[in-house]
Amino acid sequence: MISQRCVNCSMRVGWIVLGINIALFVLKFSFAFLSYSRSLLTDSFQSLANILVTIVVLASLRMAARRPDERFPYGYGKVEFLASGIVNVLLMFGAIVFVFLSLLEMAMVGPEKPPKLIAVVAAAISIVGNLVAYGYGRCAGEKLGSSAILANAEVSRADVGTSIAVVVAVVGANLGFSRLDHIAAIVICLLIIKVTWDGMAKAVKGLMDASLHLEEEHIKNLIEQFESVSSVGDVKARFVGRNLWADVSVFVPADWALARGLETARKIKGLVCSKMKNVLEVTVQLVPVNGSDDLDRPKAIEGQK
Amino acid sequence: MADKRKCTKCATRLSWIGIWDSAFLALFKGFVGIFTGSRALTASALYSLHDVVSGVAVLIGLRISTRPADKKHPYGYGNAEYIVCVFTSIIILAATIFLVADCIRVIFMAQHAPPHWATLVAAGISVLANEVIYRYNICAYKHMNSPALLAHAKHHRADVISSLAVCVATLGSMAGYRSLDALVAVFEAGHLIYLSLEIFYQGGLGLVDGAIKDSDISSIRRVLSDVPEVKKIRDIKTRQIGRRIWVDLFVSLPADKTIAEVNTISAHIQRGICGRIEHVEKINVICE
Repeated sequence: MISQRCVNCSMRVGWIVLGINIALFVLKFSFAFLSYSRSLLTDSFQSLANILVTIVVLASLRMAARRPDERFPYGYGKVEFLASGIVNVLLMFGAIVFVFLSLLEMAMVGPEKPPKLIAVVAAAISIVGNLVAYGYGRCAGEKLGSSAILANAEVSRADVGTSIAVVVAVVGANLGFSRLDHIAAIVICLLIIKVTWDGMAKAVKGLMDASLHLEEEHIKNLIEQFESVSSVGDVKARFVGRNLWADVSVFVPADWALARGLETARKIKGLVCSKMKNVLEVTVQLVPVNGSDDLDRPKAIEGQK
Repeated sequence: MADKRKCTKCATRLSWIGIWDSAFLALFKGFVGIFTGSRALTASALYSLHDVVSGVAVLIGLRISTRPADKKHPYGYGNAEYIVCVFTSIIILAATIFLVADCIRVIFMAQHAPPHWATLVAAGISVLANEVIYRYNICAYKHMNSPALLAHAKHHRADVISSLAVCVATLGSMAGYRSLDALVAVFEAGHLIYLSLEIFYQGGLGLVDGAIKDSDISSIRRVLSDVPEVKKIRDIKTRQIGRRIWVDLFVSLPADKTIAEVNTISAHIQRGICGRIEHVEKINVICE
């Protein structure tokens, strides 16, 4: 049984992590200028990325809760994909520019003064802050079994890694490996590029209505249990925000009355909705078995609740 | 007519030539612009970049978006074009805003870069190249009567004008009006921001499942009201996937009809709608 305390904690965890990230960003950004550390600057950039992504998710959850209206008859769920895609593209662009600038600086300026050691202070605080955020998220995520919260906790853990890299780079640069700070900065940028690329790929998949293979198979298996259905035709599923919208076509005898067909459609919909938790809508096409219609032309008829 | 065939060949080649030309000019002008410190030329380079993006988007629209739906993408590839448009126009937008901020800094701190002959040369090359491609496009447009070619031609004309403005700014700056360069840059950037936002708005609306025009929805209603079997229209949901329209109609039909009869009725409705509205990809008639 999930205790009420854990539920409350999980509601807060997103905001707490956001607050920690904002504080860390301000801290690292200002310390990066004080200490002239490139790697700390990119580390703060990563915190900024986390902040933006979190804000987008929170804002689009609110947006997605709006009812469908005339302008957006399928609801506002897809705004999340578009917003996260844009944020990730911009961050990736920023990281790529930064890699070029760092390379240019390494080539043109050559060995220069190492960053000041106060950068280590900010990086250490960042390590502690992110560990706290990770512990929090991990605890709440495991107690509630929420993969979204766990995924966010993993992001915090990755930030611990980059901050450790900053410590190593700054100390190393002061010990005489003067390029280490730049190299660490570039490595962190490459990490940011990878993470934003993944985020973008996910957004593009959502925007393209890419096939959800597992879910489609699952729905197909569920419907095949119905003895009244001759066979299952096409099953299409797409994400509208976090929820599934499924289009299904089934073959039924041509001489059925519509009422009977609709009854079956209603049952199918009820079954799919009860077995899969994030289904928004199931539209069921009833195709006459011996009808001459082909499926690829818009000629089939659908039944719905 | 051998002439006609030559024109078709020319027209298909033109979109490629236009893209390569713009890509080359964007790189060339961007390089020269940054190294000579000419903000106007940098803005002009972004302009060319914008042309590259719209050209590539059109090609993607022709190649990928028309691919039939398959297992991986059951709703087709229509949105690919918009995704490219939106994501690249966002990057151009970011770069342009950055440039405007830089221009404002230059104007207020009066840190104008001295004019450089290389700016003049780059802008001159851009004027010539774009004018030639403009002429080609107009010629092909007159023979083929394709609106896409006219749009291309207009893009290149706009590029000619923007590069001419850079020439004027550089000459003016040589004559002593130093702020002219940044002013022209701000002006061009403003237009570019407008263009990017326009693309962004259109593409974004399609990507988040925006509905089609109200007039089209009312013509769907008119088609439905002509069918006596339709008792009630519960809902009409429409969305755009790329340039194609998908429609879900939620209607009430008499419960005693057989599935085969209902199928005929919905086929009738679908034919009616396809006859009224263009670019319809799929219509689902959903009974209640």
